[in-house]
Amino acid sequence: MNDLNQLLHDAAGSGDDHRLDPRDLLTAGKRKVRNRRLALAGGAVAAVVAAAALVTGLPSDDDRQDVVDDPDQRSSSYEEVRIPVDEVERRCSVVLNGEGESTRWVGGVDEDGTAVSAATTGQRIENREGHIAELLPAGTKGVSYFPPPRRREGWSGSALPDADEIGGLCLIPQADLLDGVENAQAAPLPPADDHAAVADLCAHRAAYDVGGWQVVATAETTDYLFAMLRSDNGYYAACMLEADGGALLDLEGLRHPAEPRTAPDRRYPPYVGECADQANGDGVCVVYGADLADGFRVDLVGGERVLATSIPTNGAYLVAAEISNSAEVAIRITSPDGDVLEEVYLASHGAL
Amino acid sequence: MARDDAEYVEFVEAVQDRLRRTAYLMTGDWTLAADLTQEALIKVYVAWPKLERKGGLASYARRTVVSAAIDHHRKRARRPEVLVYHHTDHAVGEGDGAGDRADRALVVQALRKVPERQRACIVLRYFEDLSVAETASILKCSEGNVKSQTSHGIAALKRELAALGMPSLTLPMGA
Repeated sequence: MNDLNQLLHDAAGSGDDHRLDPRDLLTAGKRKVRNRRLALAGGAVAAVVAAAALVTGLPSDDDRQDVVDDPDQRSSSYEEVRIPVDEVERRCSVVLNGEGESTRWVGGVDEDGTAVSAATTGQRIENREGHIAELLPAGTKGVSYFPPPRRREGWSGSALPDADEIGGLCLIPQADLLDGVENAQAAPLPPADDHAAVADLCAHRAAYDVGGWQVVATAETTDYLFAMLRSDNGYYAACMLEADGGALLDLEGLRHPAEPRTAPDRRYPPYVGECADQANGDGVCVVYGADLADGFRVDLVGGERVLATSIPTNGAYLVAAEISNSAEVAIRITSPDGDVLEEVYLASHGAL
Repeated sequence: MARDDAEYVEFVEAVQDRLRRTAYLMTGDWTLAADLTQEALIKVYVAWPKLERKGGLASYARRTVVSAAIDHHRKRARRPEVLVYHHTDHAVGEGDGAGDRADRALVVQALRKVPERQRACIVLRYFEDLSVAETASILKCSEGNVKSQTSHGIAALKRELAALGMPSLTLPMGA
């Protein structure tokens, strides 16, 4: 051991004896995993909607109170159901709390910038079942009442303080499926071609009944199974499954448009894309959408290599791949005639 | 592969002290070091299935701490910096005089003056006792770059220590 080695050990060894509580880290880690799953599945986009709703208001709720479905009857269509905001907070508190936690998660902000129940402030938050609400632990201080300019211009980040650590993205569950959230267990993923099992697990994990929806595309990586599901009435949901969790996409974002896109439109990218676990520039990228005409081809490209390909079915496509350099990842859309409609690097499009 | 909470807790208990010390040497601030360690360990939890499969849990945590420290330093560098020595009231052991404490504080202060990647090389090589190859892997650069950065870093550290009035030390000539 030379002087420098000794010097550094002495300098670092003289420090504090503060120790982190692993249980706190575990809770924060679980929250981050959950948020990332939802962000991966479009939560960041939905958060913009939620933020706008905070100030501008949404249509009235109470369309339907808790509806207990026949557990043997899987839903095959999407029905917009709005619930009271305090019910959103109650259900999401179940979703967002870890084992043994009793935090009240809320969607309102009082004039002092403290997170409180939206029911007491009268603010409107996302309140549609199956859509993503952004909530904070009650009592969180320093919350910006108005979204910052970037957000108003469509930035898909979060306006909340340290939202990735503090805030929670919650896909608003259906009341009768909440038990599944509370008693979720890690389980092996089903084979990708077992569509019924995939849809069932998606419904179970998200506590939103897409059990009767049609699986129109799947993609697998080592740790994930992704699926695109289509309802009988033309809605799409993207589902990401991991051995110990999963999430559904915000439903509104994937409604198949009346007129499929056949030309580039930079204002509204044709995809929702994310690359997860990018601390080291590697991880998993997934891109999906439901806005292309059939016959187009969608490639996920890394450098010169095609990593994954999807041919839209009823406009829906889904590609996923493990990547080693997120800066090189692009989505390429090719027309039925072989013309490259567009090729967009996800990093340059703010998707990463 | 599912995350195993018990294994994660065990991992945290095993590595957190070392990680926090590494972060402290990179930042010179125990509070910040604790924050960076916390962030790194949360990221470990997120990446756990992949890390457990591929190996390198501790390496990933170390890399995350060092990267976060470098990023933090760069962000701070954009603002005028006032170096402040934060006195801490830690227990003083036998033979642990005020002079020793002051020396240690000066070492940390000198380290903070060393460019961040050079500092990272010094900390990883001489505190973490990592090889050149392991350091290169963590910093995502070539082994040659590690050797060069380490050599420059040690020279810079020597200069800073001398400027702070530290007695001459037997420092290695390079990597």
